[in-house]
Amino acid sequence: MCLGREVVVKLKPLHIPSGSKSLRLCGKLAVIVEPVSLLGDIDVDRGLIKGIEIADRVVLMPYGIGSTVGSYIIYALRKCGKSPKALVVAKADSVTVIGAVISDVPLYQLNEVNASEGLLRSIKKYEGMVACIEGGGKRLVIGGGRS
Amino acid sequence: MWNGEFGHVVEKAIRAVVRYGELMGAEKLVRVSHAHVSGVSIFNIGDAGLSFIEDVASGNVRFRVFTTANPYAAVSLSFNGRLFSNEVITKQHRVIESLRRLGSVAFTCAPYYVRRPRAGEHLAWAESNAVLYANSVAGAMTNREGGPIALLEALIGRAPYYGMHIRGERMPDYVIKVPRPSSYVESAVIGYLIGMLNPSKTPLVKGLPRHVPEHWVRAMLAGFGASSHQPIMFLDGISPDLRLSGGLGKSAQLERLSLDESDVREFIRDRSCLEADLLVIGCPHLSNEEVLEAFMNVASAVNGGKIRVRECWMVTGDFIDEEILKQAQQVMTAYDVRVKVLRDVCPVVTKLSELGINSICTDSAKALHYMPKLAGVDACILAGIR
Repeated sequence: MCLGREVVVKLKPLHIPSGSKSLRLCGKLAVIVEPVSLLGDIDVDRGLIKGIEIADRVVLMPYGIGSTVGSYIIYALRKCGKSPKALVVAKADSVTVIGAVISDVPLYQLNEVNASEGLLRSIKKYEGMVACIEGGGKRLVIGGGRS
Repeated sequence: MWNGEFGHVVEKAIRAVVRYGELMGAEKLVRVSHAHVSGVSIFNIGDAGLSFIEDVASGNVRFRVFTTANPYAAVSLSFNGRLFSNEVITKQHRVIESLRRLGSVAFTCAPYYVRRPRAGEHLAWAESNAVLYANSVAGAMTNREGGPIALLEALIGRAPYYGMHIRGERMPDYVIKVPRPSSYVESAVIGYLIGMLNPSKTPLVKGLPRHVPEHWVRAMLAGFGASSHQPIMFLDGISPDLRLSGGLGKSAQLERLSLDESDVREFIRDRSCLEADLLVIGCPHLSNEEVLEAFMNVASAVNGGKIRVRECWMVTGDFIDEEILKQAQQVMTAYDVRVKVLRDVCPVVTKLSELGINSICTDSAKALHYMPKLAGVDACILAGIR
C-alpha cells in the first residue's frame, strides 16, 4: 500500500494448517480463471492446473467441480511436492475444502463482494508476480516488491 | 479429538468433516451408527486415492463405527484369456487390505443387507443406491456423502448435522404418478426417468403396486440415483417418513407430474439389444430374495437362444445365503449355461475395455448409465427377461 503499486485483496481463511498460523505465505501468483475439475484438470506429476504451474505458488481459482475423488488429487499433489503454497478460491466447494484439509494446504476464500470469475480475470494480469498472504490470512498482497 | 489426542489422522479427519459441515450450513455433528465408504475401485480413485487410504491405514487408527465399503474392481477376472496388469491387481489389493485394516467388514453396494438400518437412525453413507434405500425404504437418516468424506466420517463416527439428518428437511418437492411397472427393468427405467425429469428435486412417487417386490424398488432407486443428485425419493406405501409426517396430507399443494408408460417403453425399446460380449446382472448386488429367480430367468433366456452373450456375470455380496446360491448355480448347470458368480466386486467400476470387452447388456439402468464411461464399453438394456 505504501508503494502504491501493490494490489490488496481481502481474504477469509478457510483452513490454516496447525503450526502455520502466524506465517506470512509468499509465492509467485498463479491465476486459474475457469472452474477446475480437480480430477481432470490437474497434472500431478508436473504440478499443473489447466497447464499453469502451481507448485509452491499462491494459486487463485474460482472453485472446484466434478468427482469427489478430486480431494485425493490435492493430497497427491502434496505428496509429490507439487502442491500450492496457498490456495485461494472465489467460492468454497466441498471437494476442494476436504482436499485442502487432508493435505495440509492453506486454503482461503476471496472476501470481496464481487468474488466472481470476473475478478479473477482482472487479477490474471499479475500472474508471475510475487504474492503474499498476510495479516493472519486476511489479506492477499500482490506485488509491491516486499517479498 | 480436536487436539490430536487421537493422533494426527483423526485430527485431520475431524477438521475436514467440520469444515465440510460449515460449508453445508451444519450447526453441529451427529453421532452415526454405520458408515459406508465409497471410492474403493482403483480405476476410480487412482494412485492418489490409494496413497491417501494407505497413509490413513498405516497410522494407529481404526474406524470408530461399524463400517462397510463399496465393492472393488473385478481385477482378478479374465476374458478370452486376457487379464488385468499385475500393477492394477496389486494396487486394488492394497486398497482392500487398507480398508480391512481400518475395520471395513464388507465390500458391497447393498450395505443394508449387511446391517439393516433402523428408522430414525443416523448414518454416514456414500453410494447413491444405498443412501436412497436407507432414507426412502428403511427410514434411516443419511446425506449422500462422497468417497473421501464418508471415510473421514467413519474415522470419527460422526457426520455434519444438516439435510437428511433433520426431520423437517425430509420433504418432497413434487408428486409424480408412475405407470405400474411390470418387470425389474421397467422399475429401473422408471427410477432413471424420474431423475432425468428433475435431477435436483425430491419426488413423492405414487402408483407403485401394493406388493411391489423389494428388488424392483432397489432397481428403481439405483436408476434414480444415477440420473439425480437427490438422497431420498418418497415412495407412497413404502417410505416410513410418510407415515411419520402425517402421510400425504401436505402433498395436496405440491406440483403434480406424471410419467407415461409410453416413455418407459420407448426408452427401453431404443436401448435394447440381444447380443453382447457380456451379460451383467446384479447392479445393485443381487439379494437373497431375487437371486434364484434371476438365475432362472437368465438361464432360460440364454439356453433358449433369446440372447447371445459370451459370458454371464451375476454379481452379489458376501451377505448372500450359500444354500440359495448353490441352488441358483444348479439351475444354471441344468440349463447348461456357464455363469461367473462374482462377489464383493463391481463390473461397473472395472475398466472392462482393458480385457478386450466391447459391449455388455444389463437389466440395470444404473449400469447402463455408468458403464460406457467407467467401464469403457457399449451398454444396452436386456428387456423381457426379468
